[in-house]
Amino acid sequence: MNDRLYADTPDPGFDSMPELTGYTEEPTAMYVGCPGKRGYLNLVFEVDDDGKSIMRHHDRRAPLIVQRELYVDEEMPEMPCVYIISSGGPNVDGDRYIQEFRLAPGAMAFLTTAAATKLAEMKRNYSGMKQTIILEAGSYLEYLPLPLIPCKHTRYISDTDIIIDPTASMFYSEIFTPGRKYYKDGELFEYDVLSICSHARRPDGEELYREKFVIKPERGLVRDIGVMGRFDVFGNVIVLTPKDKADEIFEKTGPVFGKELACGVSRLPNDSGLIFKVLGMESEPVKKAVREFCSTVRRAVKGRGLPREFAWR
Amino acid sequence: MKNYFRLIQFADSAFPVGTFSFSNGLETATSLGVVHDAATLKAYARSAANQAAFTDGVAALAAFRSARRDDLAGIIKTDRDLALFRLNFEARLMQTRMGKKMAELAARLYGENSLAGRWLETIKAGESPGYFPIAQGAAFSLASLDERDLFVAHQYGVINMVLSAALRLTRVSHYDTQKILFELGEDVDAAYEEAREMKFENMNSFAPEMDIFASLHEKGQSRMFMN
Repeated sequence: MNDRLYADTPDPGFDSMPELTGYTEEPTAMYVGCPGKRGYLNLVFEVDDDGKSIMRHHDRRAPLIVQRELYVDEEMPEMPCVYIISSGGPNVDGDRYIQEFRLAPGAMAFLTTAAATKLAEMKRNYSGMKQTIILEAGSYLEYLPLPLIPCKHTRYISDTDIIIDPTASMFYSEIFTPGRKYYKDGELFEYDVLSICSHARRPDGEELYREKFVIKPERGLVRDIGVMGRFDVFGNVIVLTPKDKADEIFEKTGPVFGKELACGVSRLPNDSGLIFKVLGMESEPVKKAVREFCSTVRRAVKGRGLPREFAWR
Repeated sequence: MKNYFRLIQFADSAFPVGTFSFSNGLETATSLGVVHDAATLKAYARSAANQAAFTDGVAALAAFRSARRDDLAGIIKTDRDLALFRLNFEARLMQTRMGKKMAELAARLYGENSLAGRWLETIKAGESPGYFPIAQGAAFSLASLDERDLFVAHQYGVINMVLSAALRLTRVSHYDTQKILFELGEDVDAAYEEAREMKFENMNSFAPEMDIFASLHEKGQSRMFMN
């Protein structure tokens, strides 16, 4: 197979993970690693001579696409906003994506996806995403992709490596739906496996935290009390920021446990920041809770809140 | 016979590591009415055991294997690795308090120059955080027990902590809690078979509702338990 590999971007190397055992067969359609199935994105943000944050560099391979940065945030008009597009539609069997984002000293950026990430039904292989996020001194990143929709028999793995200077701040959220909730009779937790890992370290190598969750609904535990309980949608937010900012955000974030929504914040180890968990019955309230929390973070770090979300998102 | 004796001693809820002070989030779950009877308690205890199996259980096994080689550096490394995974303050507090007590007891039982004694010194010096599963791993190795014994004691301890707290928090009887304990024992073999193959990069847990309970508890006003 190696002579057919599309060597332009490296393989994220997930095949050996035990949760993917049984899911590494070659797809019968386009092979793993072929053009169009190995997306790559490398974005670098810098402060230009006028003191404005810009996307200095972008390198991309289909199906991942970005266009030029936009300055559409009315509360922070100086912040470049970039919408990541996956031109191939849903992630399918054998897709491998690599995303690398770097924020140079003092730079800021807002990243999101143009649409929810659909993970299509998979029969032989899996879909994987490897991310590296580098935040240099005093930089600030908000990364709020739209929800992930894992369809029946989806297998998806992601690994996010964050290297952050002690003076930088990052807000990174992910929202996981249970599937196509309103498709036919409803598709709730019918995927095969979701394996999500993120970890952070300082530029000198000091490790800060590590989180990994592996959800295999067929085990029948996902609805247990303490896991998802009666909720369908899960939001997970990592905030890495200096301790004084984290303390302020922690004080201002009240836990909630209601019928439609539950959320709460905890302190990450090594005074590295906070982790915020949200559970809800639908995506919209979870997205709203994540954005409200982002607004609290932005106020603490940048002194301004989040604008109202666009009506079409 | 001696090994069984040691196993029962270390796994006994009366072993003085302060287990009674903690509820593993159950205090919040009962105050919200989410856990209110035997069925809901069983589901909660199963979640607690399951999420602990593939984090603390894996770390305990790694510490046990390091202790077998008298590898103090390996124990410290596993302790620090586990610390990265503890994503809420009260869980960190619970596990480091219990871990230090267990290390102190093991140092008394096996002597200051034993691996437990030397590890305790690194905890006191702030070089190793002193997490409970690591202390369990070291103590079980020093007692010449098998790693299966360790894993069983670890899972038993997690479930029993929740069930003991439940007797004081919700309307369940001793009959209920013993039945739950008996039934959850069925799952231990499968959990061990999976955990024994895992390395640091495979450790995982997924219990967002418990994480939210922990957050509510940390910010709560009236509390009987420390977590």
